[in-house]
Amino acid sequence: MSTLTPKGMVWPWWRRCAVVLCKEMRDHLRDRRSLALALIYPLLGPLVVGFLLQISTDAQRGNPGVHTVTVAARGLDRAPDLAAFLTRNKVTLTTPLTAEALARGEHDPVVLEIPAEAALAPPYTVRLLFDANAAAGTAIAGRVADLINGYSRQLGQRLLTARGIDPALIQPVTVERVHIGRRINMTSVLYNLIPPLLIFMIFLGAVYLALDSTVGERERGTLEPLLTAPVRRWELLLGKAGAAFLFTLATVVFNLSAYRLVLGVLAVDLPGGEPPPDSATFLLIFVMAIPVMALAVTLQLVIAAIARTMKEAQIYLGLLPLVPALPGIASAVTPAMPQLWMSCVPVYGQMTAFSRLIAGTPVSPIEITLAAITTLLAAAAIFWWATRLYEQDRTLIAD
Amino acid sequence: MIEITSLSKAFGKVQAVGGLTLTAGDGQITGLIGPNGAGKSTTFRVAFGLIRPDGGRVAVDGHDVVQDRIQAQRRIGALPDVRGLYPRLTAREHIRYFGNLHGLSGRALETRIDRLVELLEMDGFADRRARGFSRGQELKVALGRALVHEPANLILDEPTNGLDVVSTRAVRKLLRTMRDAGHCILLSSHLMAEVGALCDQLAIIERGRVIAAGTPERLRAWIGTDDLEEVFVQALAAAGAGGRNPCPL
Repeated sequence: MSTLTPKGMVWPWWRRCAVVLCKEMRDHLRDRRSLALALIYPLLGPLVVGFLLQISTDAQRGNPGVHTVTVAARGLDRAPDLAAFLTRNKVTLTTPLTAEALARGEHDPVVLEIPAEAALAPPYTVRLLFDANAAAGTAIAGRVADLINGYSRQLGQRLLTARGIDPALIQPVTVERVHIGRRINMTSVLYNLIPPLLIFMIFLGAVYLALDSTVGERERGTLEPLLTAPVRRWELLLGKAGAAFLFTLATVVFNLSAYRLVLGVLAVDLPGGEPPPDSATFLLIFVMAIPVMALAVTLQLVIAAIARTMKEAQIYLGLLPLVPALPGIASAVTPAMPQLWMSCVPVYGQMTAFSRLIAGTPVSPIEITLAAITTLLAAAAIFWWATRLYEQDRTLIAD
Repeated sequence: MIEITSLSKAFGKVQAVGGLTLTAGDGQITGLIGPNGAGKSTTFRVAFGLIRPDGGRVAVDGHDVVQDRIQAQRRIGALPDVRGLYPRLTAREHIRYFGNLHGLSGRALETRIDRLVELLEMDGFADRRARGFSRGQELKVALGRALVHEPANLILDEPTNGLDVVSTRAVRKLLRTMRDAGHCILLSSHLMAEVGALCDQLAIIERGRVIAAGTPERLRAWIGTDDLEEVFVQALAAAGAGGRNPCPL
């Protein structure tokens, strides 16, 4: 046996993890691809929401009423009262295209046909011709149909009144729907995009680092020398996971700051719009997102262990956003009121809580705590699975 | 000292190593030679603590590489056949990273890195990032990484493959110096001239087991030739024909 004693101290586990973490951070901070993704990816969600808000703002400021639509009409002279009603409601009625124009390939998106019996007396049936495959034509036809139904109700009431009958008799029961929540408008709809976009960003924001430091390391041939060092596998993985977690954390801070900035500029003065979530709300969302980041990183490690190459890993990555999306899809199919057990579903618990916080509805501390505990437990279980995978020969050896 | 006892390892239906027994002593350079696919790299991977054997054991200074992996790895300087460098780290950072992983830090580590840079003639590229390094430069960094903690035992897969003549001489000189200081060195090589010039003991392996072993002089005498390449070829031929072992253990 050798009389030479090994050089170097036996450091505590956390210090070995820190060595790996620092190396990964240094390595990837020099990687332009990682940095570009880390900087660009968090901006995508805020830019999309901001762009849609801008469009909404322009529409609200430029034309506070409804837009004028144009409809080709045939037989207008048979129902001048209806024509006048439609014109008052911003429907421009034009003459249908000629046969020559039709031959040239031109077409009217919507054509209103008023039958000959309209000239006599009601009732009569008008026809709206449109192509249901064309979104614009469908929207115009829907709007005109609503207007004609409204005109029909007014006309019916006038006719009944003329005959001495109370018009209310033909509709003895009416329904009045009272919305008791915040006003539903474009800003509310756009704010609802933030939670799913944030979750997707968490799962994909620092994914390149997680994969490059594991499957990339194996593909490059650096994993084999690294595993000859006296470091336990879980310590190596924890160091790498720590680096990926810090990158994810930074991208989430960047992402939420961008949301706050974009919404603060665009949504504050929006006519009729809801005020954007305040900084305290974003701070709470950030804190609640921390366990989700841990879960995302551990899932990335598992993908890296299963995939043989970066290319294969990127294929699996396409499926990764489905993991957080599945509970949301299930709840969309079978909608249910928020219940406490839903907080126990990792990621879904946070996503519903984010939506409620953004809508101005409070979330109880017990819900926040339950969501954090179950998500962290799931992350721990998946991390343990990843360490088991890294003990296997096939995970370690490139060929 | 590295003791390999009845080592076996299969990948699916392929028996990579089948009952290999070998001891590499302290103060000696032991060469492991064999044709492609003979099981050298698999044996080394088990000895590095990378993969688990199906049977048998490898012990480094008495520490089993499976049961007591961390202690065994503290005593090994490993040079796998895959050199594997990080393209965005400099040569010096590679050595520092592995020094840290072995529990070295501070002035002692920096002094050791400076010494390795000088010994391995890395002055020209020590502070350059590894992307674009030649094979020889990669090998020097990998060697530096393996030697940073002054291990008692070295396991080196093709330690001079890709080096120029001057660097090859420098590495050989370094290995001899370490041997004389009492280190145990187990290496593999395809270069018969190298193993002849460097090794105190040789083991020829074929299909995952040792078919001949001894000092180079003993092996040459057994076959009756001064040409080690001829010794190698005849040993393989005899083992393949199932005939006499030219140099039984």
